[in-house]
Amino acid sequence: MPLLYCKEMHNVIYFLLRHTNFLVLIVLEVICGLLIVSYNDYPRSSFFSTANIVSGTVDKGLAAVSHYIDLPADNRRLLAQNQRLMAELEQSRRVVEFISDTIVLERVDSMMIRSYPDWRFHTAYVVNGTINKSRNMFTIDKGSTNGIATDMVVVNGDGVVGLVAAVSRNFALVLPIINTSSHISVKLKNSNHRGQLNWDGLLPTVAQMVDVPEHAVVEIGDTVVTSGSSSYFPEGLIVGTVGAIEIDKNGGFYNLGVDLAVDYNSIYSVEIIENMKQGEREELEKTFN
Amino acid sequence: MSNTGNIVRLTILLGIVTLIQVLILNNIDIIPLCNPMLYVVFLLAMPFGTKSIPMMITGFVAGLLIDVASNTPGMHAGACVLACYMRKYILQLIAFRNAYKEDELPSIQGYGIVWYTKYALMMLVVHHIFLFFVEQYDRLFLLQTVLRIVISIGASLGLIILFGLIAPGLTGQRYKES
Repeated sequence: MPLLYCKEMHNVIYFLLRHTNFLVLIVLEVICGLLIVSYNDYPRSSFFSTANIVSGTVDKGLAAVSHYIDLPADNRRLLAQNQRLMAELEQSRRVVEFISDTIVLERVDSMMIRSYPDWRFHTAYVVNGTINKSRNMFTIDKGSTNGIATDMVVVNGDGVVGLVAAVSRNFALVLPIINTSSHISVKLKNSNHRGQLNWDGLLPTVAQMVDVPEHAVVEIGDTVVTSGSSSYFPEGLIVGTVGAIEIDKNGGFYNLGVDLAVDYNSIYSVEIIENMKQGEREELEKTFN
Repeated sequence: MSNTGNIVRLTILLGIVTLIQVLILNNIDIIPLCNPMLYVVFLLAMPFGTKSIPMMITGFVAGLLIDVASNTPGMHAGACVLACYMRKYILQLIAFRNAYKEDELPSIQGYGIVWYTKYALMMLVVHHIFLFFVEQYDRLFLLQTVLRIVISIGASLGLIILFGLIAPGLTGQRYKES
């Protein structure tokens, strides 16, 4: 009996020795699998990512070279944004003048004091990113030391870029609309009908808006904006325009193709929007859940 | 080529292809669904005599390097490890007159473009199928993924052969004892 036992053991050892390659393969693949599962869905851990300080710093240096090409487009976009803001400023100045002419000045002052800012803007540069995968990510050169936190909204002069998914000290990782894990709540600007914006992984210029009821009036060229129903997004940020309309196979809902406002090909300078009242709102909403 | 020479050559090769992959290829979107993976040329360039286990570990490290730079931890590493494991069988399948010299390097210059294309294609098929299916692990768009694999294999193969022709010193010329 002991002899047999020894023989069995010998067989097992022999088997293991014969198949070491295969065993090493399995071990390495299991490690990879663990990495994938622990990181993905929503990349909270930032060790194995470009938000990591080492690769982030390298990226930053390299991006200085590769983004030189994108500067003209970026410049044009900033000029256009500037022009738009100047026009808006002029308009609001006239409104204020009109109000202060007609209403007692004291009341205007108190109104202005009450409207303290809800949103704060941080600027950053994209230092790394992909656009041709189905799970694209971008790295920006501002992190927790600059006041960036997860779930903040990232925009550029054209519209919404995405959400901050992970932060390290000096870098942050952005989950853009063109990632199959991205789902943001949007609405049609004209009719106020809400829906969800997803991405099917096909073209970096087109995303899909779903859950819009069939009775909504939709036309090609309608503007799609953020709905403001999640506490992360300010309401009314431009996302894109409706480029294709079709009815869902199961009926009752539209599947809208949305031409994205942001050109991910030439993305460089971005702004991160911080909601100053987010904590307060979340706390209130939590009391009902 | 000496052992140290090989290590130096492979390290330089890995550095160069990683930079090209991360800075240029990851950001190009000319053809839809096309994600060319030039860095696989690094796995192809290892000497015939490389044992499976060191090969898999090297592949794992190289894949992890690409993963860190493109925010896909584990995916490229997994694909590389599998491709490295399969290389032995692929080489047996397309054996060149039934003999590879242990210390020789698989190259276009040494074994001809037809042999090299077969070799690169098989390695890419293993690598890309694994990579793009794993990338879709939670939601599967089957048709899109298959198209992505086919288009990307074509683009990767073209780039790898081009790279081999442009930089024969890096991907390895035929070793001659003299």
